[in-house]
Amino acid sequence: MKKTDFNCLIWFATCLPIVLFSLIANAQADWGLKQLVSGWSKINLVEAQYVGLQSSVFFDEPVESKGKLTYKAPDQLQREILAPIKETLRIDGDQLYIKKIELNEKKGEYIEEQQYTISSHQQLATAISAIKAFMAGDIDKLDDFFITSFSGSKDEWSLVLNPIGQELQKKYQKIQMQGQDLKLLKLTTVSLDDEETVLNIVYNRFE
Amino acid sequence: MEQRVRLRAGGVFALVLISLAIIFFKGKISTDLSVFLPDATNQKESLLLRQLGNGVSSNLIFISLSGLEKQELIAKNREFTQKLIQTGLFKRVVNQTQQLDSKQIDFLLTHRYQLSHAGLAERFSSDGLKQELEKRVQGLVSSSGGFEKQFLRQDPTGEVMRLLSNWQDKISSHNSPAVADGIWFSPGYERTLLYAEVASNSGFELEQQEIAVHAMRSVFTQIQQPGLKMVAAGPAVYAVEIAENIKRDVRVLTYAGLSLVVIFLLLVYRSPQIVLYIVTPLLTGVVVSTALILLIYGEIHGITLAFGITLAGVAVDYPIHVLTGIEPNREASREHIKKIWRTLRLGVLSTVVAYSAFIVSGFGGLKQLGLFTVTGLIVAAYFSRWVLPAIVQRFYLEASGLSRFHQGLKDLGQMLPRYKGLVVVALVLSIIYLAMTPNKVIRLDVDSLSPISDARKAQGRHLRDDLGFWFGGHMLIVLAESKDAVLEKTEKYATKLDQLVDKGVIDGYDMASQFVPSQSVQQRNLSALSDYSQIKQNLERALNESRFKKSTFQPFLQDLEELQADSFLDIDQLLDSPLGRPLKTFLFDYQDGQAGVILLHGVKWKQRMIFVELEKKNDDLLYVHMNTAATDLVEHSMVSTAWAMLIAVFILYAILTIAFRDFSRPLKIMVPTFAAALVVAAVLVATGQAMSIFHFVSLLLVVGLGLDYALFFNRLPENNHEWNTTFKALWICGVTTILVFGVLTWSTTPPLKAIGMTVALGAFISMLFASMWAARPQKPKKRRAVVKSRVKYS
Repeated sequence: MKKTDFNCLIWFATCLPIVLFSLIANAQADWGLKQLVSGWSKINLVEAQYVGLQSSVFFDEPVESKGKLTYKAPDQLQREILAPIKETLRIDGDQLYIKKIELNEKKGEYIEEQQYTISSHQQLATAISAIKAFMAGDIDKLDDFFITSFSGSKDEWSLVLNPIGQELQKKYQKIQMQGQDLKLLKLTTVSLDDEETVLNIVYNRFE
Repeated sequence: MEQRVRLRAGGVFALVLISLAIIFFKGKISTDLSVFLPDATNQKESLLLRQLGNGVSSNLIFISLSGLEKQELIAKNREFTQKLIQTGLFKRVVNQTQQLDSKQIDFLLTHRYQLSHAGLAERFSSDGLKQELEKRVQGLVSSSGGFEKQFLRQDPTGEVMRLLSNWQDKISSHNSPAVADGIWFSPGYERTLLYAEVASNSGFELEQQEIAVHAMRSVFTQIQQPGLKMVAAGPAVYAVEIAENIKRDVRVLTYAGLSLVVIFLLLVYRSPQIVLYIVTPLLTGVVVSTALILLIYGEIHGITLAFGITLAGVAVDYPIHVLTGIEPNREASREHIKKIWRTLRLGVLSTVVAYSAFIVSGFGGLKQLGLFTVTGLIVAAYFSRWVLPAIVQRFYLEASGLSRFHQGLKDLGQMLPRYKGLVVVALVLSIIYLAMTPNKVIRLDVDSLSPISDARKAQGRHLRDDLGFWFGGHMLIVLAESKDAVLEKTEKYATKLDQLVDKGVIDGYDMASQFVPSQSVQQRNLSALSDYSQIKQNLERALNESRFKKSTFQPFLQDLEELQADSFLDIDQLLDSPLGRPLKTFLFDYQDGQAGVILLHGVKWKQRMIFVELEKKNDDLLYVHMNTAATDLVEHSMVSTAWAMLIAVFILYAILTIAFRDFSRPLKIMVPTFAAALVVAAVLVATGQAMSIFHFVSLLLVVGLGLDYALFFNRLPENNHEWNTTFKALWICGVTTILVFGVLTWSTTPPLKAIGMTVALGAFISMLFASMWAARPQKPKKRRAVVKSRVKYS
């Protein structure tokens, strides 16, 4: 059993919006998923801040978290959690880096950085290939991972992803994205044990 | 007479047959060099030998792969590890921090409060719990939130998370390897790392290590690709390498040495039959003593066996002396044999006395060697005297070969006694040199016993360091009556050691109580949790200010209610479980009590005195530095061996005095002999070779040879012919010895090389000195070109 199961799917949830806002940014007036995916690669740099609300069976009310999201073309992604705990997750090509605070009986609290190769971890690889399917605009491949349903208009749209792959189904019931125009504004993930996490995103740079 | 001879020959033949049977059925060569470590005489020594011999780590192999890109190395490491596991020859093969299984995690969860070390009371105070609950919230939001969730309801203070990172990272608390993709790397990511532990049953370690190391090499060939390099080091690999070297050396050098001797003897005697007669006593001696050693020890050491060929150096002389002087006249031959036997007997006796010093030495390996040589010599001498003349019938002894060489040596031999004084000068100069030289004279450190090169050892050290294994050899050993008492004592020393870490004297330390607290700490933990209602109240207060639902920690309160004040951990049960097994390195039965090891990391050599002082102040604590302690051990035994040698010298003198019925004549034998030994020692030291235990062994052999030569040179030559015969026999003996030992200098095993160099040089100088102190023959009337002794028995 792994203590550091690096929750690849949280990762998935982190990366997905970045991919999607780039995707949506290039969307045509005719808001359909198939039409949106062609121009996403023109995005070079995205910097955004998020405020998250995480509900849990343990909590009376959701816990707020804050952080930063960064995307650099073609394949660098970073999520930095700033509160209530400091932690950085970074993808660079095929590498995943996690920098976090560890608790140890002897050493007390200390910061540890771990590195993983995405392609050699089944769980991670699944999540990342789902993301890559988006990035590549490969709608057919997306169908391997999700049942997608897109609705709404350019000013207010919604995309719901229901996982079908085994790896993703183990953790998530549903992923929902809502946006306006080119930008993804709200990402909601619902876990298998009914915990809901909502990220509200504000953009600093969008190039 | 005839019947007696037949009886003797039959007896020897039967003995050889029995010996061959023993060798055939029981023959087993050992190559474990620790038998050349002395026997322990005190507590510290026996603990040290336990660590050196059967230490838990003696089955470890440290491996690095390098020469490719990082990603390729990761893949290679995975493949290599997987294939090694599949061989089934390893107890474990590890290339990343071990994850605990759910059963082990359950154990930690159940015993989380017993296993905690400090701070429970603070954490369960009202303020403490407030902070802890805040940390749980953070944990749930973090990337390991999914994992934290599992224990949250039972563990509001996160004890399990603390214990997990402690127990999962078990190699050492001090240093951990770099990690890429979960796989271990050296700090610069040039080499990817793993280690393997050979699965072995006691008694068959070396065989299993050999099989495992060979399997490892073949697995590497399977994954090999251009550029990929493997370095494997560690006790198991070294043991196998030493074994391979010793076995190869013994095989190659024994054959080479014997072949050279045979060729030489063929050149001299020009008869295969005679050569066969000459080597038969030697072979008989080797066979019988090998069988005897096998009977006593169950196995024979490779070095002992290699030393067997050193018997050739001495034992070949016996038949040569017996055969060389044989006359055509049968009566005269009998007379010759009788006469030569007087000297030969004395030679055998002197050599046996010299070698007996080994039998009483403190080194297991030397005892074996001494016994082997003494037995071999006695058997060879007996054979030469009583069996050989009987079977040597109807043959021509023609020592016509190399006649010009003989003539040259003879002229030299007749001239040399004029320079008698040179021996004394050489003796005095050697003593002065050895006393005054700035060079290191004696090398006692254990490294001098090890055939592993310094570069190879350094590779092992680097690998251990990169993997975070303990190295450097500094440790503390705590003795007590029970395991719990050991834990309590090590906890006491932990405070002191923490101070030393803060001051930078040491980098860190590992001990069992870092994982398992003593009962008194467990007691303290349990009593911190004994006031159920108080803790419940504290928790409720903390919950009021947190986001957690009030009911979240109900399972914890239930556990707390059921927690008994005396529910101590069963340490023996833990040590026998997969989770606790690694702790056996730190905690083990010792004699009637228990011993605990504290491994010290990064001790600066200059500051080791702190530990020497610490040991002096505490009766229950031993400070051991593996190298110095082992060196002390060697020194201790060398001193007793040296005493035994000194006593042997006096016994020798006594024997010779009785034999000659003369007080001064023994000196004529002993002075050139010991002068030769001392000159050899001086030459070795002057060429930068400090004397190790193996050099001493060899010097003793030089003394044995020298005594033989000197005795024969001192036989009063009644006539020129006899002088000639004796002289010829002597130089043939000398050359065979130099040939046999000269070959040993090509050995890659340092002990064998040391023996070869010392004896080859020693044989030459002994021969030279003995001939300088030889009795002078009458002036020859005319030059005899060749000695042709045609002997015919009928």
